[in-house]
Amino acid sequence: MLELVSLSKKFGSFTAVDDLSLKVDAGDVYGFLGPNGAGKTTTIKMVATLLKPTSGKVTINGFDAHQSPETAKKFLSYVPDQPFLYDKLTGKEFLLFVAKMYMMDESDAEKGIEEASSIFEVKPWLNKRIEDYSQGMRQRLVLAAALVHKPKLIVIDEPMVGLDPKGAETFKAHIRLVAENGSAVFMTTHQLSLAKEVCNRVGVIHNGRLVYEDLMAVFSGDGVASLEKKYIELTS
Amino acid sequence: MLKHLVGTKLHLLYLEGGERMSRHLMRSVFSFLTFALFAYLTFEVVKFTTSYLILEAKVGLFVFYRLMALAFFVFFAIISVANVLVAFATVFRNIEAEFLHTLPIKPVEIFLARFLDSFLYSSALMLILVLAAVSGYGAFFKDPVTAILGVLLSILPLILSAACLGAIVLLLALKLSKEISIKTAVVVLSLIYAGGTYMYIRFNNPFTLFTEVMKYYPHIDQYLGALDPKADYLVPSFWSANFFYFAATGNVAGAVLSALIVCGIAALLFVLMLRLAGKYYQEAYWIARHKLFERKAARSGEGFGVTAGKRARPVSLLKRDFLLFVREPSQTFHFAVMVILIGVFLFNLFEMKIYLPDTFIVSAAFTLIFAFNSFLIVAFAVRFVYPMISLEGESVWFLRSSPMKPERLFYSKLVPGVAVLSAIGIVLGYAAPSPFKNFRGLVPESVLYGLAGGIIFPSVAMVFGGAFVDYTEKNPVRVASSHGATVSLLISLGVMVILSSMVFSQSFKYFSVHTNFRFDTSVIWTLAGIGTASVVLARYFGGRALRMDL
Repeated sequence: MLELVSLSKKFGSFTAVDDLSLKVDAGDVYGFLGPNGAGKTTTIKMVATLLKPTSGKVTINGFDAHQSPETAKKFLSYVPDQPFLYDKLTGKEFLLFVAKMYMMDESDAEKGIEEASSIFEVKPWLNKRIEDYSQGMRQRLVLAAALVHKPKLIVIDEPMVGLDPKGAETFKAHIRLVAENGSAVFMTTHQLSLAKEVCNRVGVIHNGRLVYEDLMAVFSGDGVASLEKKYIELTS
Repeated sequence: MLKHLVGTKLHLLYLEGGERMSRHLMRSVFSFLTFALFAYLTFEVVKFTTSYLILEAKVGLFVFYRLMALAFFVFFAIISVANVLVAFATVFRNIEAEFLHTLPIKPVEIFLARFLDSFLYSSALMLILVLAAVSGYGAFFKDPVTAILGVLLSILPLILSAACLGAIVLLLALKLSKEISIKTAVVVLSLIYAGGTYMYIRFNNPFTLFTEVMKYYPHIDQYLGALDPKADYLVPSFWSANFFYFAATGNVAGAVLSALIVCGIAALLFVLMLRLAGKYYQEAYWIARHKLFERKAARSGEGFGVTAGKRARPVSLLKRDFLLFVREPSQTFHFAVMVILIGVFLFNLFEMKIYLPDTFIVSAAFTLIFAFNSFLIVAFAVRFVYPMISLEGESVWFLRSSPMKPERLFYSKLVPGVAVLSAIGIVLGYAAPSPFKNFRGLVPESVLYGLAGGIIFPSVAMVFGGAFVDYTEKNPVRVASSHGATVSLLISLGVMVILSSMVFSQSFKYFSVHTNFRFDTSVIWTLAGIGTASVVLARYFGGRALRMDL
């Protein structure tokens, strides 16, 4: 579903991402880990077509994200770490706006909004202005917006920002369900326990290079501790 | 999709406008009164100027409409340059644009939605004053139909053309910056702009034109198109003014043709802008973001430095604001442009020689120079001082929760603005009398007015920066083009008119007596009074903004 082929991004003499190749298949929840400044956000911004690679390519569902961005983005949902919301719109209006941008017809849009808002329990708030939402509620709305059009690929930068324990639990449960239904999830997080719980594959980026990639199952023995140990070993 | 995107944007603009009205009733009433007053003053000034030029000075209709063309050209150039900066802030460096770029929307649709958003946001208030000016003109000729048609068929397309030209220049600059450095691209385009403006003004010198037209006296109302430089035909402002000329002289065919040309140029530039956006916007957006990240990556070894003791807090506040200022390219670029403008103006002042026999005219000329000096300081104040409190942004909680009086924070913002603008005011005040004979005696007074302007105008900007504070807007260009900034500009211009009348009165006395001129000390007390009142009001509104509930 998502393929990065020899992806590099240079800013002057600084190489933020260096010859990165990876694949995320349908049904995968891929945990993209790395310390601050490792190149995670730059990679994600290239996937979301907000930055153009210096070399290499990004394909989403077989479409080159920088040659045919509009086509590729039809299959994508992107949730940044600091999402943008129109404060003066209601939650419902915002979700409807997103649905329209994905060219959904009225009935599909209504259905998608109904389902997504039920999952993240924002339905009671849908007719209120977003400016009245708490931080956690805003994050729930953004996650709901990411699901409205049933994307084939969801890219999430730090999904747990502002979520309360219940919201976090809902997210974890649902993100696995989304993958089971055939979508792919590419997610960055600093919470290794979250990665351990929801991801089936993991990659570690350090100084712009992918230094490790494997199935999460290899850490099944002693749980988070072994993943943490490996992570520290790779990034120190 | 485009319909839904633009519809949502218009809905948001409407909601935000209504919200402002209901939440800040006093502010809205005050703004309305200010605009109404200014609209009325603009109406009267235009009516008086039209009447004076045509009935008193008897310049003839042809010269009158060529002066109008010159004014339209300045208007066109200012909007166009301003739109380069505004478009960069709203089309390229904007969080909503970033959000829209992650959705499967055509780049040209994103561009159009953001362009219309910034166009409507910053043009609505300007249009009110344009309407007032054209009404003043229409009232003199007792021809409201031409005035209305003039706004619709001549001025609106002119504003749209200027905004499109600004956006086109920006797109090309970013596209060019892939081949050459962004600095070189900006320098090349700035030189083209400056060169074009210089050539236009040089070839359309009103004094030369007046002399040439007077050779045809008494037929000075007829169309003397042979005197127009051919290059003027390429400038939409020329056709805008021509529309009014032909409408006033009853030449319907000429008026229709002029309107068609102005509208045609606007349509052409709009289509060209969209074609270029369709072709280059996505690429230009990536280039702009790449440059932004490149700058971030290149930054290293920047240190805040350590200050200890009693001065630690004020020095740290000043240092923080200074660093935030110099590290924001839109701030430094605009500041540099305005400093260069002042430099050019000073150079011209020292070169200029105005030896006129008539005391009234020579005093009026000195007052005009003073007014222009003041306008430069006002422009600085609105652009850089007005946004200072709002730019404290969402980090205001940090200072609010620290053991510091909000007034200290307020003074750390006002004092640098006053210091810089006072220095500029003193230099301009020193230079202002130099074109005149026996100017030395006028220097102390002129410097005093310059200093007063350097204190009063940033204080007025701070009054309205506090009254219309918006901690959610992070972009300084957008803060400085907001509704509150426009009110601040208008009030400052009102103060400028008061100061100009004082300058006229004093300079008239000076040029009448030449020797034994005694400086009127009441001027000092008046300036001190206005200065103190503006600082006190600034402290009140600035302090209130820094104390308000978040």
